[in-house]
Amino acid sequence: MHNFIEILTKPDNIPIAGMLVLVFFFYWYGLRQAFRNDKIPEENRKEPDRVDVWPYLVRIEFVALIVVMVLLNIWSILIDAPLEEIANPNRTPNPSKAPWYFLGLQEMLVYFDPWIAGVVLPGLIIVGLMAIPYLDVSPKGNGYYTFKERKFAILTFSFGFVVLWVFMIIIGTFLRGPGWYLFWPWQEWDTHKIVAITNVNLYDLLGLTYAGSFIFGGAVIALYYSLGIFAYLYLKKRKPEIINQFGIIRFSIVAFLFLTMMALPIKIILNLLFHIKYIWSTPWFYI
Amino acid sequence: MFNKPVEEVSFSKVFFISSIILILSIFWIIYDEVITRREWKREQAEFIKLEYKKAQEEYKKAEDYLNSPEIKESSERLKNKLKEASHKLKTKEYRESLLNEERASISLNKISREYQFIKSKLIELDYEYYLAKDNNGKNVDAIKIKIKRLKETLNDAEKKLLKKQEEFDKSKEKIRGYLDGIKKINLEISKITTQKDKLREKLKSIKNKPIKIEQIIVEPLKRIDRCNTCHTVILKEGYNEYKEPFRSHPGEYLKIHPVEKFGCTVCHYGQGLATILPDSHGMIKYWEEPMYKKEYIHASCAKCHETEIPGHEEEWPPEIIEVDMPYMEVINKGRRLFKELGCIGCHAINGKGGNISVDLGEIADKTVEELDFTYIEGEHSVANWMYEHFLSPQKVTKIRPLPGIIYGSSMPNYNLSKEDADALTALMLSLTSEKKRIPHYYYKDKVFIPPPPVVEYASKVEKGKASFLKFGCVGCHSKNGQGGIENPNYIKKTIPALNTLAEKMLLFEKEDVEKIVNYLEQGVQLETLEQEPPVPRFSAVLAQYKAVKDTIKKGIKPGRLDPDGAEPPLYMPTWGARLSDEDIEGIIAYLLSIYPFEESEGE
Repeated sequence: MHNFIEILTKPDNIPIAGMLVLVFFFYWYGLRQAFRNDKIPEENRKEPDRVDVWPYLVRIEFVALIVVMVLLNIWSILIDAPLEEIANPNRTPNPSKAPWYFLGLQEMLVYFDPWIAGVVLPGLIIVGLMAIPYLDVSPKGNGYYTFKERKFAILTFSFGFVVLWVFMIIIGTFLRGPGWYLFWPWQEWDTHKIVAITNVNLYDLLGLTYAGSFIFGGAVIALYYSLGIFAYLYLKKRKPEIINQFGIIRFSIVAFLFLTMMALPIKIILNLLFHIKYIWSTPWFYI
Repeated sequence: MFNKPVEEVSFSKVFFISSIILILSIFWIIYDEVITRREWKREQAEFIKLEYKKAQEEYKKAEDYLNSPEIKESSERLKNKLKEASHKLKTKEYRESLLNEERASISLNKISREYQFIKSKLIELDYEYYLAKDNNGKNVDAIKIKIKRLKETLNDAEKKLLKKQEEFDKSKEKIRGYLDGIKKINLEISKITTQKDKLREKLKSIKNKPIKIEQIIVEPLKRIDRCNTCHTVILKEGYNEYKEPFRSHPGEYLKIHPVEKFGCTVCHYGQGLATILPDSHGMIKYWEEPMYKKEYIHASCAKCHETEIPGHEEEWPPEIIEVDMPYMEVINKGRRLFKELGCIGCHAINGKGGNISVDLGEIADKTVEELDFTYIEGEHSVANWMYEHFLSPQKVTKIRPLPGIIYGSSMPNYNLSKEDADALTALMLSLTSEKKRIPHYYYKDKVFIPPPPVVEYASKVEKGKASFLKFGCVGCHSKNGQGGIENPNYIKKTIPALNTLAEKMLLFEKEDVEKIVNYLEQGVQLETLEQEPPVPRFSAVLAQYKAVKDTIKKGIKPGRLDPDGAEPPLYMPTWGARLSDEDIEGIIAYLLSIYPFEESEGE
């Protein structure tokens, strides 16, 4: 455990540790307010009070600014930027860790091939975040916190940001040791650790030919994305108001992005529990 | 505060307090930057105080000296003399002589002016003469006569001038007689007081000395050293009794290696640019060149004062010699041990030597992250790793529980004493690639080390004994071929002893051994003997002899104790390319001759 504490208190890891505390605190703080609001009966709800930004918000922000400046000043006095060993092209460090905010992406490289994890998925993340204002046009929750009225939006965001992004940064920073092997907090980071890599491609497990594996993998992926169609048909029958609200184009974009996001945890489970590497292999990329 | 609506809350208190804290933190930053992180300022101020105190003491001494009764008496006497002498200046005689001198000088000036004018006129006439001559003028002769006359007057004037000059010199001499006495007395007085005056100047200069970062820039060696920012006196003499950092550099090193040419860190290492501790001594994580400990500092000498003899590049193994130079005791001890232990049998130095283990030519370039410090007790530095590895190789690189993969260090444990381990570590630290980065002109004054004389060995046994040492056989087979060095997973567990070679060659009697050694001594090829020598079972002996020769030439791959285990790390290398047949015969003769016959008979 002392090993973990040492990693946690390394000068370059301190901001990450602090940031994680802040993220969870404000996440909890926001949700608490949302649940409190939801408990208020419909008839008691009033139009919320409105206050001018100037000076009531700006003055709070100004005080916050001063406090942050004080913190940064004291921090820069007490903790010096850490040195690392002299760079040596003949002896590159293993692992070469990305900056902490990219460690989530680096973690994805374990489960996808570099083209998917390094280019397609980050691209989709950026495009998806940009698309949110156009996909989510519901006026609910504007100006007040609520969970009940925006369950899907909040849950999806929580899963995508807190679970997938932040947790993967935690894993990448604190749990990935030499050789990018997984070390639990109570384990020593042993540079000589050896782990047998026994991952197998799904189609190899079934013993398919090249052409067969191509067709089979493609079919599995196609089936996975057709879940969106099934969801559409199901919702149209049971809850047509949702479909009406979305429209078919908006719904298919949301379904595509959502399913792509969910592919990551599915791949993680397949990889860690069933030692499955890839599902579909094409001459250009692997999934 | 949190229950009230936001418009009614006053933030003035929070704002005031946080602003005060912000201002305080800014002051803290300034304090940290200017004072806390500038230790050298304090060091320099302290040194200036020390120096001032020292100079003051000297000044006081000088003052005391002036106040001592003897000096006082003598200076009093001198003063009286001076009074007497200056009294003379007021006499009538002196005044008269002054007047005389003045008159003489006036008349001298007059005469010399006349003389100069005559000379000028003469030159003018000369010019006119030549002009008339060129124009075929009529008055050439008249000018000639004029010149003649003028020359006569010039001679007269010269005589007069010399006379006046003499008169003037005499009068001046007279005055000098008066003044010289006073001058002499003044000189004597100043002799007594100069020391004090000089010290007064020094005190003034110390007081006005600025506090600043000092640095030595040595471009050819690519080093910028600010060591003398704190170690201010390192270049001055006379501070030997003070504590660091206010101590002069010990020894004579700096006289031979001027600081402007060598800097500090090229020998001592550390972080030349840093100005605070422990950074400047390099005692921080990831600084690859921490300052050398006292025990290892002379490794820096050996970087340039080399291990190998120049001009012997072709030979194998490298001739490692001890340099006869002051301060090199530790390195020489290391070199002696390196030879005695037969390190060269397994390790090469820059490609010359055995290839069982790593080349040691640039071993000191290893960095901390290349080494495993799991089992190191002391500090995590390369030097300490080497030191503990010498003391106990197997402890430092423990056998890991990975069957068939790693056995830990295969270097034999020679049971070295701490001093020996220190000496060897110092030798290892001297083997760096930095040697190559030192420009050639730094070697200008290097003393050429003459190659050692070629040794003529009295017998083949002697030569074999020398080869056994020189080629590093002794490293594994131990001194006198006793064997007993462990080889992990080797079928015999330890490396075979060689002092029982006679037995292996089926020679059980001392006489038989002597016979065979005699043959080898004479250079007879046992294989081509026509007549069978009077040795029992000679054909079998010969077969064994051939086998031994073959083994030395071709080497042996050791058998495994555990067939599933790893390859035993130590093995017999092939010597065929490096040793001549004659060498091998010599070694065999030597090994045969050391069979302990008497002891075996006693048992």
